[in-house]
Amino acid sequence: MCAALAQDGGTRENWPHYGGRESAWRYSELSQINATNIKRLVPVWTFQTGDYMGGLQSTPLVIDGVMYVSTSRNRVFALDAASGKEQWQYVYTPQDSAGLIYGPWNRGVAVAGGLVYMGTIDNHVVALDQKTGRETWKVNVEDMKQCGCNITAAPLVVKDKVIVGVTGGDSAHRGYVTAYHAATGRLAWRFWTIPGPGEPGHETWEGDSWKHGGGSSWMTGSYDAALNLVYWSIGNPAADFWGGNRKGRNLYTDSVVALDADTGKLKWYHQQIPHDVWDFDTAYENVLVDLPVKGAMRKLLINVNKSGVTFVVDRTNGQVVNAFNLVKHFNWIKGVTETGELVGRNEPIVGQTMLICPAIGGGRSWNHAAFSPKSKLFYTTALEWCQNVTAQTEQAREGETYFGGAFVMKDPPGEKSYSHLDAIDPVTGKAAWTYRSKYPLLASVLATAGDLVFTGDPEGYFFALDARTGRKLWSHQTGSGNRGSSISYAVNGRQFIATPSGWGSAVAGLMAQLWPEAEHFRTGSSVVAYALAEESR
Amino acid sequence: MTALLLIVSAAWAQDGAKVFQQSCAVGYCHGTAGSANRAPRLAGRDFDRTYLLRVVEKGVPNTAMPGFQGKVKDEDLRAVVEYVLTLGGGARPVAAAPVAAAGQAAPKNLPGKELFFDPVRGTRCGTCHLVEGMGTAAGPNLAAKPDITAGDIERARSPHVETATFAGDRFPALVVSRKDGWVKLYDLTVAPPVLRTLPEGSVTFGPGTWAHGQAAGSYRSGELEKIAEYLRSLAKQ
Ligand code: HEC
Repeated sequence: MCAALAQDGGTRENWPHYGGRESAWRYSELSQINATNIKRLVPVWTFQTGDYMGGLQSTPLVIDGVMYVSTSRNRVFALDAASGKEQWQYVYTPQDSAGLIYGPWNRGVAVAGGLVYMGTIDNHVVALDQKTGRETWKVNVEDMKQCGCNITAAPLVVKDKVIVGVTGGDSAHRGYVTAYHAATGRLAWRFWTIPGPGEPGHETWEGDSWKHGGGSSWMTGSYDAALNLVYWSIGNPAADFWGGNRKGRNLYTDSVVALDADTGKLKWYHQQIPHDVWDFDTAYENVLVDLPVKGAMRKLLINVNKSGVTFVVDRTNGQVVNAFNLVKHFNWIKGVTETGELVGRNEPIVGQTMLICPAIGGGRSWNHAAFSPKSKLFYTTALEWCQNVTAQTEQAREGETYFGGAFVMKDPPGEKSYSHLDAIDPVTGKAAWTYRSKYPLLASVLATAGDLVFTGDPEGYFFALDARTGRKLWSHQTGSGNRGSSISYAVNGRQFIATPSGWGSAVAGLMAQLWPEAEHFRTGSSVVAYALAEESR
Repeated sequence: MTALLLIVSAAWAQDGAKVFQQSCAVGYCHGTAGSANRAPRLAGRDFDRTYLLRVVEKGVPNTAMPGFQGKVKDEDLRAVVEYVLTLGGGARPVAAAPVAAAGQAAPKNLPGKELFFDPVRGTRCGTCHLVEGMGTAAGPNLAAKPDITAGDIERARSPHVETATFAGDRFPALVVSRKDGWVKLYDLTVAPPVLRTLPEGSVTFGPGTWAHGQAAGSYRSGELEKIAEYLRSLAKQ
């Protein structure tokens, strides 16, 4: 009986959504390219976007042989996915030359119903005609100078609505998730991530702190059609390192919220870090998997917190099933219980400089994990690094940076900073294998039915590991560091793997404090597509 | 450089360290003592004083570097420039400044301005009007009305808003342009207005029924009074 209900979260010819499918597995069912023949994988085309400042953080989408890719300054290209030939391009002109608190970077588009949707660096959402790239509608989510926010994440289309999150967690900002009618751009609903006066949860904020309390929604959510729930991760409270004027749990910051897809009403929430003072957002992907827990099938949601603590919850009600830590070096807490309670908080103290691990760049960055239903393993990167934090009091100035402290990157005690990619059991957190990297791994992971796991590194190597053992099987120098998300798709029976190449981002910028040579890592912005050499298929 | 100026610069650099700590080193920006984070490293680099001041005041267009003029006091901006100069070309960075107390130098906003851009209100004026470089320019410019009153806002008419019909859908529309067979218009069904581009031939227009009163209706008349006062003060600037 259970098998009949088996969940299908893999992609095939198309890569239709940011996370592959709405369940965010980043897993392809294609196996033409596999662990046996990968030695014959060769680059077949490269596309230079020309928009290289900030690198390329995108997840390309592929629908019916056409690839849609967005760049840091919101250019969108439609390419023939087999040849890389350009079909159209859209050049976005930001409203004015306002400063960019977050950016410039963009992580992808959504495609549905003949339109291509993108959030912009000046906080608009645009919808483009899928055939021509012509702008069909455009709406200003909020003036970016006022909210101190913009959009870097890919939108999520659910039925007749397009849903977007905004940055702003390090600004004097009050976050929200907004849904627009996909056809017209009209506002459908807005979920405020910080409850207003009279709403439940408002009492978890001291005084007026709720008005500028952060709670950004800066990554893309997931969707479960059977439950009609949208899962969104809500970021850290502001000010980041200082919480002296926002005593309380600060709901719904650092929480996963489950929203009714039609109304935006809160169904349940799970707060990972009450009253965060470390800038450890709950921000990343929500991977929706059905797996047995103690003999019973459960509908689970796996979320890696920026700290590296990973929470496994029941996605029907938010109940914690397990929690575990991905990183070796942590001292912000002593530990986390199986029920997700944090033990032994080590909070920054105003005016003191304290070594805190992991660093603000995270025990993992936003780059996504992958889940393979074949190996039943969850593949995620992790970062081992620390920082000296000096918390300071700060007054909120609407729309402006609101950080409450400063930091300097440091190596962990007794060890040079490094990074790893782990294959873990998603319920227990137990590692099947681990792959160690000298530099932070900051590109997303792709898993395929060919028993392969792909990711890339800051030096520009895009590589494949054996999904079962972690052994490196193949690598290719893409020309610039990898900070985007690779995908797989097929055109006319030929499987392709494609990866963005282009070094940049906030966390990439932090690297030079620990590895001075990283200051000279070259940026770029291209998509490289690979397939098996024709004759060897 | 005269001795006096040198002494003044040194004193400024001390103050500047404090300003830097509060406004530049924070978050993912320039890092403690300019060690670089999301923004470039400032330590160990030679900058021209005039260039630095211009960047600090005006920001760098199309980047994350904002202009601080009007947000931070002028003397503090000059001080922070002196401090950054001490980080350059071999000069030792001054020791980290003592942490500043809260409650300093927040810009004073007119209450009318706060109401105009009230973030808690879905249909604030700023959703449809652009003033002081902020908001959306769907409605007309309101910064050139030296005599505007609350009554003018209450009675604001919308002669250019028509009723558009497209694909069986009727909605209030404010046409922006017609070009190459396409019509660009603001769809005013709900705030925020949506700028739509539609094939000219397939949209028909009829007389408008949209009332500005409902757009501005979330404000009480006492509040409109304050907004009018704010708009008058803009016109006088
Ligand atoms: C939903 C959008 C919207 C909102 C919200 C809105 N306005 Fe307007 N406003 C308009 C549009 C559109 C027009 C002009 C219509 C036309 O020209 O036909 C207008 C016209 C006006 C006019 C008349 C200007 C003239 O030159 O005749 C005034 C005054 C005005 N608005 C003030 C305000 C104020 C003050 C607020 C906030 C209390 C506000 N508006 C809120 C859309 C809006």
